[in-house]
Amino acid sequence: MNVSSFVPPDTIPELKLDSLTSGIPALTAKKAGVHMEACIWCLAECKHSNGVELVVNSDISNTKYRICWPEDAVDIEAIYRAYNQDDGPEQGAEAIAFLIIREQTDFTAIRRAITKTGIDYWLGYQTKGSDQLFAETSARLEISGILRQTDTNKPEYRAKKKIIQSQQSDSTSFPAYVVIVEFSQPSSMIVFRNVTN
Amino acid sequence: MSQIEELHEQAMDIAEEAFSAQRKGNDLEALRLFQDALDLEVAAATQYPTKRESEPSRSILFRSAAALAFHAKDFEQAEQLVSNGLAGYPPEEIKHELRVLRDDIDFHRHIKLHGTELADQQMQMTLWGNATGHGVILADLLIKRIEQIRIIFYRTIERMSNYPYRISGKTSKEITDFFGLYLDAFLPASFAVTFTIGQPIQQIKLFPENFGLQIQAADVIAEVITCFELIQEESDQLEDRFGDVNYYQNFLALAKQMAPDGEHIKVLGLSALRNGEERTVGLRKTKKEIFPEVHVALESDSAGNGKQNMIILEGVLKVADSLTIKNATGQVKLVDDNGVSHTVRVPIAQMQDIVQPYFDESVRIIGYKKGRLLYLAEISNRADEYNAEMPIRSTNPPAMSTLFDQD
Repeated sequence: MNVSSFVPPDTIPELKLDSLTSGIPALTAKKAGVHMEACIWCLAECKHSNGVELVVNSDISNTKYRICWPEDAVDIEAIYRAYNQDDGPEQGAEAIAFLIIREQTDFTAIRRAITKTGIDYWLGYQTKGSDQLFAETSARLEISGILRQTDTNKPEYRAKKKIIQSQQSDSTSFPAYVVIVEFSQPSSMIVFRNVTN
Repeated sequence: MSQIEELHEQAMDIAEEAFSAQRKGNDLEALRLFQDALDLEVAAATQYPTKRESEPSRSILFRSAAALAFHAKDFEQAEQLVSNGLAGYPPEEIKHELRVLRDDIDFHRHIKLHGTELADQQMQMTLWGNATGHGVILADLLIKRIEQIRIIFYRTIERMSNYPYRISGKTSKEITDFFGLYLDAFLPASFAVTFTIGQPIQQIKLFPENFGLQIQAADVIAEVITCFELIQEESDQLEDRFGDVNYYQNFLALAKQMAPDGEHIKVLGLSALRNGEERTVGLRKTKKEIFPEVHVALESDSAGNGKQNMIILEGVLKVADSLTIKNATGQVKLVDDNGVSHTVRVPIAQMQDIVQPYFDESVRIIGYKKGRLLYLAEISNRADEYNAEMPIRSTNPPAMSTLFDQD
């Protein structure tokens, strides 16, 4: 059953886009900056401003966050020159998904996966517990971004497609998270699949 | 930050720049950047000794370096780096990724341009699998794909011209006159054919409502290759690329028809040259792997877990009628082996180019029931389906290692 409760606006937790630089091994500092900008482009393209609310729906709860970024570190005109519909939604959705996964689970994105796995990233525990450069792989993450949903392109449909796609790497037995991000009415859907072989 | 971490971070940042350059069409710049990133990643990977304690970092870095070499088109080094990664103690999932990468490198050798300089308006299609040898291929496997790529070319020209989706009738004479499609050569490679799209000498205004719209043959080829790349990458951008859902469904259905079966044809390659740079896509996904929802639903229903009402019908397709359109579908009749006639509703995007060519043929239809109506999801030639399940004598030497001897 979904649990949704009223949260006063000033107590809604923040997803800080500039925090992508820490605790997400899949992103270098530079790449984190690119993801932050792409996400800002998506929100600006949909006429949203700094602090816009994002509803995160999962099997067990509905949560609200504010998406925030440091105004002084962002040149919105440069962002408009650098991004478009081809690359903005993909990287923008990744930015949101990384933050939600870090926020709501014990995992974080450790590295990109290759195409034939049907997922985008491998996840590892946030505390890796060794001096290795990369943590052991412990879960999987598939992400999809929708700039503006239409009748034929709704998050539910996209999630269904991505769940099937993620089955390509079920042989690993790692649990899989599918995260769909929609920007026009900012929302995110998280689907968790526990796989046992 | 350790030296290895520093090298890896630098490599990843440069790789990001390379992908960005690639997206903007700066292929030469992208190649140079991929090579720079590769050098750094190799320097990081080789600092780990080949010991269990080095894992998983060691094999992850070799996998990453091999992928960069692949993007830098240094296939020899890519192959070497994959071997280095496998030579350690990689965890299963990384081993799997290294093997997939090795397959990609191997397939790429078969589909790269073969001994010919292509002009901007030319594209080469290569097929490789157990049914192909040096200049030999089962005719049916080739002929149907030539026809399908022809349809994809003309549908792409119509789409790029903002022309409404054509439900019936042939491609307009203006288009076929201006953009004639020629089959140039059969090349004794894996199996390769070259197409040329005729380029109008004087740029035309194709349609009165689109004054000034200019399409280059090279742009059409680039668009077709991009769409196949997006299928191979399972990218969401594919659907977003098509303004009209009918064009999208039509392309997807044709691409599924052209896709490898995994045995007779293992890879379908499309190559072109743009500004002197080779652009190649190797489609390795089989029909079942391209947006596999239909097959997953079918398997789920067969296992008694599904609620999709998926069914398979086999028989002869007797009528393909695109004139009676209802709820964006036409209808076909299929007479099964017991002589029973079934009416199947077909999305208009699939009617003309995908279903009508099977008229009077023995087909297999995968469909789903909605109320009392049966809707088509996929259609295929019945003989092809049986053949795909039967092994055929390979015309290639069986040992994989010999594949590397051909260059």
